[in-house]
Amino acid sequence: MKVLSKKSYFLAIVSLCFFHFTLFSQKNNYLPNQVDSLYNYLDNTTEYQINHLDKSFFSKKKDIYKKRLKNLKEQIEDSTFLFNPKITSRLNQVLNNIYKANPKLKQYHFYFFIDTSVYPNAASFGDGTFIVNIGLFDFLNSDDELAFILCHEIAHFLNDDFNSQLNRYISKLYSKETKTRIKEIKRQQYGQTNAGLQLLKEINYDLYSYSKKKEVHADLIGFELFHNTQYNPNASITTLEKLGKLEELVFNDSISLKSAFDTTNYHFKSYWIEEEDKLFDSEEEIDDYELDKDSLRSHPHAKERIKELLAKYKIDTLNNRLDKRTIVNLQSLSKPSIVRILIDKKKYDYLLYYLLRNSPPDYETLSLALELIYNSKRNHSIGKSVGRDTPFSNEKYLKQIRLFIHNTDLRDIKNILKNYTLQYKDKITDKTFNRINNYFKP
Amino acid sequence: MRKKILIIATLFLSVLYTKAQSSKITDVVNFKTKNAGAIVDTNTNVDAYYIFYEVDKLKNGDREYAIKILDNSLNPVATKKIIGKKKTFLAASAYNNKEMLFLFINFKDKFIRYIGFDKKGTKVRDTKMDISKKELTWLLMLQDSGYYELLTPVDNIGFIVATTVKNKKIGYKVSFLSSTDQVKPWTYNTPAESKEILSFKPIKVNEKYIVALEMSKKSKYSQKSSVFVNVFDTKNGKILFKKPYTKETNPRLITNGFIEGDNIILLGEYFNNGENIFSAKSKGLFIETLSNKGELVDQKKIDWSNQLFKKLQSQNENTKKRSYVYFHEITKMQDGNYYAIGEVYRKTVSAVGLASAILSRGNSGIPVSQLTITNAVVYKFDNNFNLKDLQVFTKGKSRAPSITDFGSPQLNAHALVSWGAFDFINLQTDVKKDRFYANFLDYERLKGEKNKMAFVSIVYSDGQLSSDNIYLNNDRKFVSSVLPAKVGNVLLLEYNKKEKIIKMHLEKINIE
Repeated sequence: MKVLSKKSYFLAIVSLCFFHFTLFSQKNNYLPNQVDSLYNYLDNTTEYQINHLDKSFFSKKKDIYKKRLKNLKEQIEDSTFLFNPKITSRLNQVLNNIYKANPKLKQYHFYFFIDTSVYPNAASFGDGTFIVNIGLFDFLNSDDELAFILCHEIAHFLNDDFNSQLNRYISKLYSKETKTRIKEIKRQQYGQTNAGLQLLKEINYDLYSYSKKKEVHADLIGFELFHNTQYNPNASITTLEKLGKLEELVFNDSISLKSAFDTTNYHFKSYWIEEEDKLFDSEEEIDDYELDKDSLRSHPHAKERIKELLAKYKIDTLNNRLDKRTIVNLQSLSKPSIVRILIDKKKYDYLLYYLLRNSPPDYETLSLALELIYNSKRNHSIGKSVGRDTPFSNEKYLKQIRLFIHNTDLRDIKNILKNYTLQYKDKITDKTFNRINNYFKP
Repeated sequence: MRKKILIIATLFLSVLYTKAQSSKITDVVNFKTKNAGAIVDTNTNVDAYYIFYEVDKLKNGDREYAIKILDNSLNPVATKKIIGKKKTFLAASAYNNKEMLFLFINFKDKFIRYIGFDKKGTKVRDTKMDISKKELTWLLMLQDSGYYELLTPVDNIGFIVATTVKNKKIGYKVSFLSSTDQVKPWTYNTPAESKEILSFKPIKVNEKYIVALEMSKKSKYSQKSSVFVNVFDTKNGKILFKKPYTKETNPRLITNGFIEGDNIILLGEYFNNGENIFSAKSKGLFIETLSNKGELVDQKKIDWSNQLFKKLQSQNENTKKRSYVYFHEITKMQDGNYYAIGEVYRKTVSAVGLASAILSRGNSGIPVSQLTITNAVVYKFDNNFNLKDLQVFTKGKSRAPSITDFGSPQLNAHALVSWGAFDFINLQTDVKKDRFYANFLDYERLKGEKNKMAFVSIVYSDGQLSSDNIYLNNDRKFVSSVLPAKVGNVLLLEYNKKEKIIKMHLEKINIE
């Protein structure tokens, strides 16, 4: 999409304005007050995209757009997104700085969803709608870094990457060449499946290779937008370096379960976080059918991306003056929302991780977290919401939390909860203390 | 930006995946699941799960198969490719902490093949063994009867593979497959001149001894069997002693064995001399200790009518005189006490059987009697096998039609156990934490509520017994079930009939 038609734009703008107006009065964090207005906007943008598709494989591409719209609406109804006026407003401040510095962007009417995922990530749908995961706010150190990521996403939109990848995918999958290959494979008496897998592999590798090129291009175009702003250009490099670390580990801040839950009357037991013996001595899944991992990456390695950026632009990599004050506001705004999301979505492993990272700890919320874990274990439903640790994860501390949740017996959690609230009675509210204390009354 | 990276890519992938699934590529890329199951250790704890499937058809009647292995937390950890003959099925699997062994059977080409993978996932053995159709048929038949074990892991050192051998009748061959340089492989063959049908079932193994039950009978339909306890030296396969428990001398139904130092402890039910263990009523429980030469070191019997039944009646006044207890398992805990887990049952009249008999003037073929199975019981015995305590755990009634109206209720109970008619699922022991979990599947009839299936676990921990109930989803839209899991856990499965989605989650059995 480059520019919307007048009619479509009018409809989209009306929907958006109405939506933004009502957003501030919303009560439910996971649903906009005027969901119809948002749907209207999404319908219009999708319709615009469909109307501007080229004729090749039109119905197949139309189906993809329709399905994507359906999925997005289902996600909205499934509480995948957070509609928090304060966070949105804060995000818009950064966006406004980007728009001001890049007036050509003002012709577009973008909409940014805030996804409830704690995984740091952002995405572009290619039609002017974007997704920013709430975990990103917690992961970044400054507005500068956030601005670079937003510029990168906007660059995907400007490059029309979604549509070009869609065209590539459709033309590849439904090409004469592919059809002939499928016919040939079907005629094979032996080895059909492997031949089919090989074909799928080739299509996948081609798409991922194309996607990597698009990512580098989005970095370059994104940097041009970013460079026009007042933000520190070096944030582009620090952000990519961070993303490089993310390839290895995401949730790896040091936490100590022992110091948190070892109480005077109920001591921490080492087997609560003891790992089981591995079935195989391997750092990763052993797979005789494994595809080449590098070929399955949609993004190039961060180092390659930095190299490309530095080759094209002069960036003072020693300039580390990032405005940390601004992101602090966004982080402090997002943190309570993250905790609430994790409670609502019953992600008690991440909840403990987020709570235990803080010093001094939030005794009140930690008591609540233990109470929730206790009730979930008592109802035999903890396995639905908290995954078991995988033998291949390097996220040591998150792994320890999962072991703690699953290795402890119900009576352990009950005793931890009881003694924790007793020990920190003066640091939690009477209401919470009394509610929890009720569990232990004979 | 790794997993969901700039959704452009993610959406794209999902689009590709979705479309690929519905496109014609799926016509040529499909996998046929042949079988799936759990890899269980000697304490009935799940070490892993596997899915065995066919990937491709190859030339000369070959097939490409794959085994997907999941750890006991359901994480996929390995997928191994195997080329083999068509119509091969995975008959058994085991893990001994050093090696994972899969045993395949091919009826058409008449062979047994075993493939082992070490801790790095490298194939360390691939052996094919020819076997006749008759031997294979007997092997599977004996295995189905519950008196034969094809594959048994010996922790850290190897595996015992027992295959049937045609001699004058049917014997067996025990092959020890070593997973370590310290123990050499060996084989043991039953005498070629033997004129009996022999079965082999290890009841306890360790690095020193293999304690196995050998059942022998003259013909396929013979009701008369003799039981022998064969003890082998694990290191070289030499038979250390063979002790008979025949109808004439010492008839016993041996259910459990323990190895304590160089002593072998056997437990089970005893009978009077001359009684057939498959049709007579047992007199009670026994324990006996044998030296590694087969000499009787100690023995004790606890009779049913004067001790076990009286204790049951004292704990549960409603217990009717005709009630019995079917003992599923006996286990020993670190305090030296033994715990026998059973279910109370009695013979009752089946309304359906009776009505059918009246209508058909006694020619319906449907048994008039049935077994009514009620509460779970745990008897506690001290180190000297003195009865100390009994705890009754209330369960709903289950009814199972008798196999025959003739013979004792115990005969029917024995037969019905192998059909899974009792509520008992298994006993899992956690040696490290000195716990056991006796698991049952109970159908609860609740007043004013819809009847519910419940997974019930009787837990022994810190010297105390407690129970935990997990109600399964009884919504008609779902099919709910429980599957074996690692010790102290249960795998709950829900199949959404409408959406055709299976959801599984592991839950810990609660101890409060």
